Amino acid sequence: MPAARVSVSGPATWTIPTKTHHQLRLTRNFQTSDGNPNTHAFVASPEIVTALAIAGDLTFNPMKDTLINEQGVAVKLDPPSGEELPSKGFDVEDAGFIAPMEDGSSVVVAVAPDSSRLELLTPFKPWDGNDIKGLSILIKAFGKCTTDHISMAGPWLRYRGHLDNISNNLMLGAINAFTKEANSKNPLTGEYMETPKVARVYRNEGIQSVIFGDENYGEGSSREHAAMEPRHMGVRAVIVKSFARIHETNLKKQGMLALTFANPADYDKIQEDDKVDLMVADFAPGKQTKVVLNHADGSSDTILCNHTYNDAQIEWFKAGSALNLIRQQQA
Amino acid sequence: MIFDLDMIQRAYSEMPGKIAAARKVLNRPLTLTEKILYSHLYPGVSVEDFARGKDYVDFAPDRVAMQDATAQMALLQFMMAGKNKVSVPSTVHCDHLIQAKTGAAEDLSTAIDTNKEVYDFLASVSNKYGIGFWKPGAGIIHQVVLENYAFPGGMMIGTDSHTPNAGGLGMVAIGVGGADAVDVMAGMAWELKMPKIIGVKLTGKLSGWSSPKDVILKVAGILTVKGGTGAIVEYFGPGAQSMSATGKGTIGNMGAEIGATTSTFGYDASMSRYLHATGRAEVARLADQIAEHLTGDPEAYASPEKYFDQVIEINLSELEPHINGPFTPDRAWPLSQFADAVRENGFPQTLEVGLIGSCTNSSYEDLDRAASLAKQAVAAKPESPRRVYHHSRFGAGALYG
Repeated sequence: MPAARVSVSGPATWTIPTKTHHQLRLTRNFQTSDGNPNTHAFVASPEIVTALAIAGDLTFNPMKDTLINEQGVAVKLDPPSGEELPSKGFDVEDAGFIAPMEDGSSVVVAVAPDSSRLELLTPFKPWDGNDIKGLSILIKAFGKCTTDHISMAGPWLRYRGHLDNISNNLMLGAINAFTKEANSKNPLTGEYMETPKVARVYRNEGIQSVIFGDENYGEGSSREHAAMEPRHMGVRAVIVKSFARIHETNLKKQGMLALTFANPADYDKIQEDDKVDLMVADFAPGKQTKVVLNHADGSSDTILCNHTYNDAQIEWFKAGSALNLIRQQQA
Repeated sequence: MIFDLDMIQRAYSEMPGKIAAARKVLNRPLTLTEKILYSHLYPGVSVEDFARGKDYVDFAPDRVAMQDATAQMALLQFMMAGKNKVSVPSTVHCDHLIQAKTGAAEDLSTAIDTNKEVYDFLASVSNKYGIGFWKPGAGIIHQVVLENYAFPGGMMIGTDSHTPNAGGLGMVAIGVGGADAVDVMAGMAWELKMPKIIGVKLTGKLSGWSSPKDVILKVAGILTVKGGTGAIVEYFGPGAQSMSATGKGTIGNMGAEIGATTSTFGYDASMSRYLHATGRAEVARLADQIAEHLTGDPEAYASPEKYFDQVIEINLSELEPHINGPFTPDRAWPLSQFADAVRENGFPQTLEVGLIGSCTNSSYEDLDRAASLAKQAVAAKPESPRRVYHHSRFGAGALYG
C-alpha cells in the first residue's frame, strides 16, 4: 500500500471538544462526542491515536506502513515505548486538595439566597396518616416515559443544584395520553400548555396531584431529580403499569407513593378531569391500595393498586422522606 | 500523604474473618469479586449464597467519590440528614464543570469565574461535613481516586459512570447516582442486585503496539455494549499480572461502555509498584500481609467455567491493536483489518482530530508511550505534522507530532 498522505481536509468536521466531560464521553457516546452527528468517531489506544494522527489517515497501519518525510524518504515508526511509572517520581507542587476541618459545626454553607443555580432544600412534609383525597391529574403519561422525559437533561443540568428552578422541566418530555402531545391542561383556564407550566399552576394554587404512567416508567438514569421534582411540585403519587426499579426506589426515598395497577387495563379507566382519592390510611406491606377515580360526570371507578414498600420504606413515607426519617433518628 | 489509613487498616483486619464466614456458607472456592462483596455486607445482613442476577443485597461501601455536577444535589440532600459528619470517607472533585477550550490556565480561570458559587458551595459543605475537597484544577476524579484513595480489596461508589477506573487497584468501584451517594454518606445501606461475574482470563504478554486499551476494546467487541449489564468483570491470569496498575485502570474505566457494574483485578506486584510510586508504601505493606484474600482462589482461576457465569480467554501475546467504532464502542476492528474496513464501509479516510488523555487513558505510561511516537515524528519530519490534543488534567494543551 502507498504511504499515507497527510491531509487536512475531509468530510468529517471535528471540533475541539468544548467540555471536559466530552472526553469522558468519548469512549461512550461517539455520536455526540463533538455534537456533530456526521463525525465518525473511533476509539483506540493513545499510541494508535497518536500514530494515526501523525499520518492523518485512518487507513494508516503503523505496524507496516511508512510515512514520507520532507526529503521524500519513507519512514517507519518504531513501536511505542515508555516507562510504567516516572523513575524520578511524580512532581506534584500543589495537588489541589483541601482537607475539611476536624469540627465543621461552625462552618456556614455558602448558598446565596438569590442564586439561580443553588438552593438549600426544605424538608418535605410528613404524611398526616389519612387517606389522600381529591387529587388532580398532572398528566397521564402515554408510552415511554424515561427519567429524561420526567426531568430533561441538556441545559437544565445548570439548575441541578436548585430544585425549584429545575422543576420547571417536570414532565416536559412526557406525552399526554389524552392529546398524544407533550402537554397538560391548565386547571384554571382549560388551555393546554407545557406540563411543567401546569405543574407550576398547581403548586402556586396549592393543588395536589397524581401522575399516571405506562410500562417501565422512569427507566434511564438514576438521577434523583426525577423523583424530587414531582414531590416539590405537589405530586403525591405516581401510579403506573410498571416501574424501572431504581426510579421506584428513588420515589420511595422522597416520600412519594409509587403504586402499580393491579390490573394494568385499569390505566384505560383514567379520564382527564378525574379527581383521585388514595385510600392509604391503612397503608401496609403487601396490602393492596384502593384508588378511587371520581369522574367529571359524577360516576366513579374504584381500582386496586399494588406496591412494594416494606416496613422501613413505609417509615420513609410516613416521615415525608428517607432523609426526614434519618434526621428524626439523629435528634 | 495517605488518606484514611485507619479505615484501610480496619478493613484489612476484618477481611480475612469475613471471607472465612462467607466461605463457610458458600462452601466453594471464591472469586475476588465474591471476597470483596461478602466482606462488605451491611451490618446485620447475614451471609447466604445470594443468587447472582436475582437477589438484592445491602452493602456497606468503604468510601464515596462525587464529581462537581452530581455532588450538588447529593450534598444539598445530605445536609437534610441532620448529621455532623459523613458516615464514610467521602470526597468531592471539581472537574466536570471545566470546559476545555483554549488551554489549561485560561480554561481553569474561566471555570472558576463561571462556577464560583458552585465551587464555594461545594468547598464549604465539604468543610462542614468532613468531606475531602479537590478544587478545580486538581485533576479528573478517576485519576485522583486511583492516585490517592483506591486500595486493593476495597469497595466504593462514585457518582460517575467511569468510577470503575479504581478497579485498576483491585477495588470494586461502582458508578451510581447522587441518591446512592446520599444513602452511603448518611449511613444507610447501599442496595445492589447481586451481580453476575464474568471471568476474563488473560494469558501471554502485551508487546509492541498493543496496550491494555486493546484488551477492553477486544472485550467490548465480544460482549457488546450490553453484555456486561448486571455483571462484574474479573480479570485474572498471568496476562493480568503483566500489565501496569494504570493499564488495569483503563480496562476498568472503559468497562462502563459494555454496561458492566464494574471490573476488577487481583492484587499483584503492579499494584504494589503503583502504591509505592504514589506515596502509599504502607498500604502496599498492609495488602501484602493479606494478599491471599485480595485475589481469587487458585481453584476458581484454574477452573473458571465452574465459578464464573461466563468466561472469556484472551492471549495477550496474540492481541492486535484494535480500533472501535464508529458510533458504537463495540464495533471492534483489529488494526490489520481496519484500513479495508474504512474503504469498504465508506468511512472518511482523513483523520481530522486525534484526542488523547481522556479520563480513561491518561496515565504516565500512556502519555510516555504516545510521546515516544511524537518524538519519532518530529525527528523524521513528515510532510505536515498533525496536532494531537491532550487533556489530562484540565483544559486543552497540544502535542505536536
